[in-house]
Amino acid sequence: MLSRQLLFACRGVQRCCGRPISSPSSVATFRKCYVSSNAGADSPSSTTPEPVFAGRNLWRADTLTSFQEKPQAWLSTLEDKHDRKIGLLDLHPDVFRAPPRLDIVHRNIVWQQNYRNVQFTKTLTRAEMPGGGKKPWPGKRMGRSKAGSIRAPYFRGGGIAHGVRGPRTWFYMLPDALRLKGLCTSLTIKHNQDDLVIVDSFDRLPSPDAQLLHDLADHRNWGYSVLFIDVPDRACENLALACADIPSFNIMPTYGLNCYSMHKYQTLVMTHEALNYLEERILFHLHRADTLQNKFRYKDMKEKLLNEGEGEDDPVHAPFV
Amino acid sequence: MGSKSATERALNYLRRAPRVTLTDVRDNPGARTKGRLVRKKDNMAGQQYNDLRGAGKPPLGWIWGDFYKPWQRIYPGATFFNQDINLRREYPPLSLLELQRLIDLGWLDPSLPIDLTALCNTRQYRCDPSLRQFGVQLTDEGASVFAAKVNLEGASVFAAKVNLEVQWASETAIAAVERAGGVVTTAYYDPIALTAAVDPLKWFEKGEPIPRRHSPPADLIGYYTDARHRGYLASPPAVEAARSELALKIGYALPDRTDDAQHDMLAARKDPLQVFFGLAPGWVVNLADQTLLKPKNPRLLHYYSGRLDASKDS
Repeated sequence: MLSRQLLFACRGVQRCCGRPISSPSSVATFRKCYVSSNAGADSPSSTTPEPVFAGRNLWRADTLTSFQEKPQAWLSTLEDKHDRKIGLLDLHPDVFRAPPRLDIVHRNIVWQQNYRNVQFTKTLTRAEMPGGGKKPWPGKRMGRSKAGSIRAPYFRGGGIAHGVRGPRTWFYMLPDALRLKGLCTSLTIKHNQDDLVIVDSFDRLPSPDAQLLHDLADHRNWGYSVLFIDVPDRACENLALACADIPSFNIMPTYGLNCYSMHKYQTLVMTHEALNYLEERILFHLHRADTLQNKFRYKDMKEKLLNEGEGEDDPVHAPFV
Repeated sequence: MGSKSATERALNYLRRAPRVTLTDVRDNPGARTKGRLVRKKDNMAGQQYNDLRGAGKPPLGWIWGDFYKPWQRIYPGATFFNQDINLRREYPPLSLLELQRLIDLGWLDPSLPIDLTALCNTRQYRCDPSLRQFGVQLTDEGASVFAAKVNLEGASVFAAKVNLEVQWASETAIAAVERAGGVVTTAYYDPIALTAAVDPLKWFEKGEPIPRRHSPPADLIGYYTDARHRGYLASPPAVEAARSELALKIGYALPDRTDDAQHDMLAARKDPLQVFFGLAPGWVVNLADQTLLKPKNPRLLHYYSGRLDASKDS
């Protein structure tokens, strides 16, 4: 009863609720677009899945203009080293055919590289160095240069004039809108340059053999470095064991997707589930009612940050944060 | 390829280009500029104790003469221009066209009553009580398209039948809504109740009880008791009569209200003291624990009931 009352009061007000959720009919259509319709393809059975040629429901992109090319991608499988296409998927143009803003990708990459920097070093000035209060020798008659303090910068062992000063951070948060656009641009570029591969599921890989994965990559013309993206952060066993032996093949969960990784790795291999999840989340945030300009205050995140290693109580190893 | 958009041309170029790597991305030209450096000539230039620096300066409104005779002192009769500027009320407008657009694009749900809170929650409309803004003013721009059927998701939703609660409405706007089968009510929100209505989440997070709405001030009582403006203090029979009268005046046929599915929704009205549908004044909403706290003290109950009798214990 409470939730029904509050529905009247704060309809669409909760931070997780945006435009798609405010109207019951549009909720259904939005969510319906991203429920996986390929039950056959994702089931980890040994039988060959049915080919998938039914179009995906793209939220508010069904009627595309004739001026925009419709982005599509093959759905393949890792069962066999020979590339076998089991379907053709329609991709949402807002995510996979976005304007290729390389400058926004640049801003994202620079942000990723710099916002975590913390400088711990500090050099001491002449005032902070020990001693140096007394004039070491008189100014005249000595035949030496004038000196006021043994810790002046021109002295050996003296203070540093314009040195590195104390703990400093280059922390800043890039606005949410730019981060979203960066992801969309990177995905667009990867798809456009044929570096995006969509597979049904990673658990179809038959064995943990690294050589098999190498042959697979050769047959399909993948690049030197491959990034496998799946939704859960627990990888499939065979893929994890195979990638452990190949330094340039790595696995990442969807929440770790970022512009730097997408351009560092030559090929991006994504599961169908990961594709659905990414499209849904990106579109949700692109179209939500709240502003995408948020102030990131330390005090809002402090408790969460300090409790990051809460559940990790190993007697020997420090918590992984 | 002049006929294609910039995006398509850029993507065609990228398709033929080598793989985009980390070193291929850079800022657009002109994105970053070096700031102006301080130059020697930018300092005080030897004017630290200039005669003019220490001298008396002309007053505001000086019109070239005596420092004691600025414009506002020469013409003292002009003190009444905009004297009541801080007392004026503003009603940020919302046209029927905008309302239709919000419904069509899914921002608003026409199967629920649409009040100021619903509009502000979409974040597409803004009402700021601190700027002396008192609510929604419904304008008649787009009256001709207001009865259009929505067909965006494949389902036909009648956007026309809406239960609207606004703070000011023009006659033609009321006519457009009623002609399409909807209902308009004008209701007054005093500034504190308005602050709660405009951002309910912020109000609930404060932990303060939902305020009760106070009656309109003297110069607005006439507006909200008048059935022609569909005021919330007007009697329902008078509102019905005004509805028929407006239909005759403008010349349209009133639709019959036999649709039972929509009837309850269209009949929903707030109590004159109520700010939110389904919640009474005086309640505290605890979002963290998902509970409601209701007052028990008789004095509080008397205050939030809005009764005018002196006895607080009845």
